[in-house]
Amino acid sequence: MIRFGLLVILSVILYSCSKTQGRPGAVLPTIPTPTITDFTPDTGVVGTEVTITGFNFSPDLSANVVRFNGVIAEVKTASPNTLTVIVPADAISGRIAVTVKQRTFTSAKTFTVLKGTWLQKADFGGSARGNAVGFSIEGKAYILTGYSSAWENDLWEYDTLSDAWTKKADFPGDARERAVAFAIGKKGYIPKRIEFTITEIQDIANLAFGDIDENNEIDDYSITDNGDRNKVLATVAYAAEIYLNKYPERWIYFKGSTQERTRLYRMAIGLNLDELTLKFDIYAEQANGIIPFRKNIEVKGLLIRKKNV
Amino acid sequence: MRQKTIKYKSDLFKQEVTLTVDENLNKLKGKVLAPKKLAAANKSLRRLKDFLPK
Repeated sequence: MIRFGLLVILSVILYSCSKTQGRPGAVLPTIPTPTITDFTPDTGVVGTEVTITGFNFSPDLSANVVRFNGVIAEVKTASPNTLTVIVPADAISGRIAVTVKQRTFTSAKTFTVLKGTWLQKADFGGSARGNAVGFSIEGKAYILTGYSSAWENDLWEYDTLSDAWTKKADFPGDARERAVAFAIGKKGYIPKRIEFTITEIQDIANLAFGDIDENNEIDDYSITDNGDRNKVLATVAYAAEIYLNKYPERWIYFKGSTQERTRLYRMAIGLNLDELTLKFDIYAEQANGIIPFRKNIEVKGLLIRKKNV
Repeated sequence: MRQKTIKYKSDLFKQEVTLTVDENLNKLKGKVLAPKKLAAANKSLRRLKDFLPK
């Protein structure tokens, strides 16, 4: 019995010695496995920030490797229980895995990568409303009409280059909602206004026309290339004829807001000079005064009145 | 909203044009709607008034 007791004690001593000397079968320090309990959101586009909750994450950012279905993501913040990561480019839908010190945990649920991206642009310039309509022309969007606290008839232009909304002339019809809007080619709803204003000189009216700005006034320095130059010129010519029929004693003075525009008017008159001179006296402003209009002469401005006054 | 629309076929430009006449603008006496253009016109006309044919 005593001999058996010594054998047991000796065995215990020998076993204890083998542990301390690191022989095969020794117990190593435990490395905790990271665990994901949840993450949110579970859908998002590339660049979305995702918060992963769980435990055994490393507080050292670089010690956590997070993969979205195999694609490594940037870790923004790290604590033992929370990681925030960014959905990486080229990510595809699938499970999220977290690796800390070569121990990996893969989530049970999957993250769905949404295609496409949204960028927030400038808020609509008008009042919040429903049932508005819109169309676009050459990189600019137009929203008009609708209902807010009342029916609206305003028109707003959105410029993608400046990321800004500009109020344009009101829709000339009755305010309404659920209207119809469209664009064909370069043409849409862009009103222009023609005005005749008496100048400091009696019986000379200044002709102004152009787009209408946010104050509902003529923006006589704006440029709107709608491809409808001839239609605009024809409309202005017709309006001028109406005006001179009503005020046959008056002159109309007009010039372009740029040299190019004045040249355009000169060319339009030159092309139709024979017909125009049957009805009108036309003079060209030059550096030293005015002379009767002829083709291909210097023109700084134009004066026109009805013939036979 | 007092407006009337005139459609007109321009022989000069071979175009049909639509002119919307807004009678409300005629009430705006004294209000200059294109001030830059009018100022430029007045500046030019001060110099030209003596050359105008009678």
